[in-house]
Amino acid sequence: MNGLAAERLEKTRGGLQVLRGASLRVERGGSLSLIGANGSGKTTLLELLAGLSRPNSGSIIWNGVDARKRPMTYRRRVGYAAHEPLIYPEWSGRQNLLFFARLRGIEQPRLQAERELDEAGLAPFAETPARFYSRGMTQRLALARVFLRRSELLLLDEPFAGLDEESRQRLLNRLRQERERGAALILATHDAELGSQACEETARLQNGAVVFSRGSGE
Amino acid sequence: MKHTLAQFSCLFYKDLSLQWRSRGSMAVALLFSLSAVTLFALVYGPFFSPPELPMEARRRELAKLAASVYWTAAAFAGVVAVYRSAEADREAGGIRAVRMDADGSVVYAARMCALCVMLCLTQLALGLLTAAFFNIAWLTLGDILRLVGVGVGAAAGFGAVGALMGAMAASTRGGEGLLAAGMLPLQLPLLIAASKCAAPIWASEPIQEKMWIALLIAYALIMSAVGLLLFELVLED
Repeated sequence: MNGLAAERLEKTRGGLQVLRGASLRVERGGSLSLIGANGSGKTTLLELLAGLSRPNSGSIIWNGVDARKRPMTYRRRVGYAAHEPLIYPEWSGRQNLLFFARLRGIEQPRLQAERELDEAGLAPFAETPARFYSRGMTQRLALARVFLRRSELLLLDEPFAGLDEESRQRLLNRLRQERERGAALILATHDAELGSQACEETARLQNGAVVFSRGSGE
Repeated sequence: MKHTLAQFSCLFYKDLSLQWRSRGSMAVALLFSLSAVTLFALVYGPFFSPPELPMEARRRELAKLAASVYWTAAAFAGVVAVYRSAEADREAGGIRAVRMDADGSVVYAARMCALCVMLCLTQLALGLLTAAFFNIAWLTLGDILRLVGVGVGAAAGFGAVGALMGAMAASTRGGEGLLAAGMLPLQLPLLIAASKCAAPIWASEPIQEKMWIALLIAYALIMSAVGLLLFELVLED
């Protein structure tokens, strides 16, 4: 399949079965909004799809690359924003983006970092340590880190959390652009309306299983 | 290969930079270590061994004391450095973002080398104080170079275990206690070997028992190999 195929994913954490045979498919350029109550397994599912955690059983394949067999090849294709910002709070916004740009081997890392800082509206605070950022600014920095690279698959966990209206609109536009260039998008959200604005398909996770979906994940 | 090296240098810089920014806790560890050396020196000194002993024997006894106090203090400072290093990575999930781009073995190697550098710098401060407080004035340049060799070897072993155990501790609740409880017993062979190697050098004598040098080197090599193999698994939940 040209895109993501996750089949029958099972995951147990702390003795609790979080995922029970969750399956979904998203094509390149496609988008899926995962909605569900707290504890339904959205975050766990995204972590598995990001390749940061291994499922107890099931498979995850992106464009023929198996996440279990070739984890690094798989992960390098993925842009992942988690609940946590996944940054270094002691560093400034600029230092964070520059570090991740260099780590990824992005050409002209400084230019890319500045571009994303600007895009995120963080340029005036580029030298401020991230631990002094507000919740919304931290979230914008977290997303800027993801957008540094042209990822083939974007996995965003509650990307709108903490963002003001202007930033939400900016993010919606950015997601549209990312999809237009061919990136697939999966986002987990509590807000079904925002999810449907950002994605063309919706899936609901309930008790660790995809119990309802509209579109290709059905 | 070029990209891997670039990633290594990037991560190495990151680890050193974050250690530097959390230098407050390192200063506390260093202060404790220096206090330990000072306390031993003042309680035992100014005559560290019976004055009736011949000079050579006195020097030997003093060197044994200096080596064991030095490595006890260095081990404590090392554990703090290890925990801080892992904690800085875990705090806002930075290590998970790093894992999206870099292989676990590169992350491990960079962490190990950064810890090694930190421990060498700590040892430098401790070494100067040990020499001053224990009145060790007879060291030659050759002795100092041999001490540096032992220090770097021990720091490599310490860093190899520390990078792995630190990552385990940072992902566990109450990890700091786990780190001290797990790491210090595991480091015991290394600390004994380092002390056994360093004691004759502090006395400006050749190391007679070569097995301690072999143990020091073997420990660093084996633990590095284990760390490289297991680090990715440790980072996964």
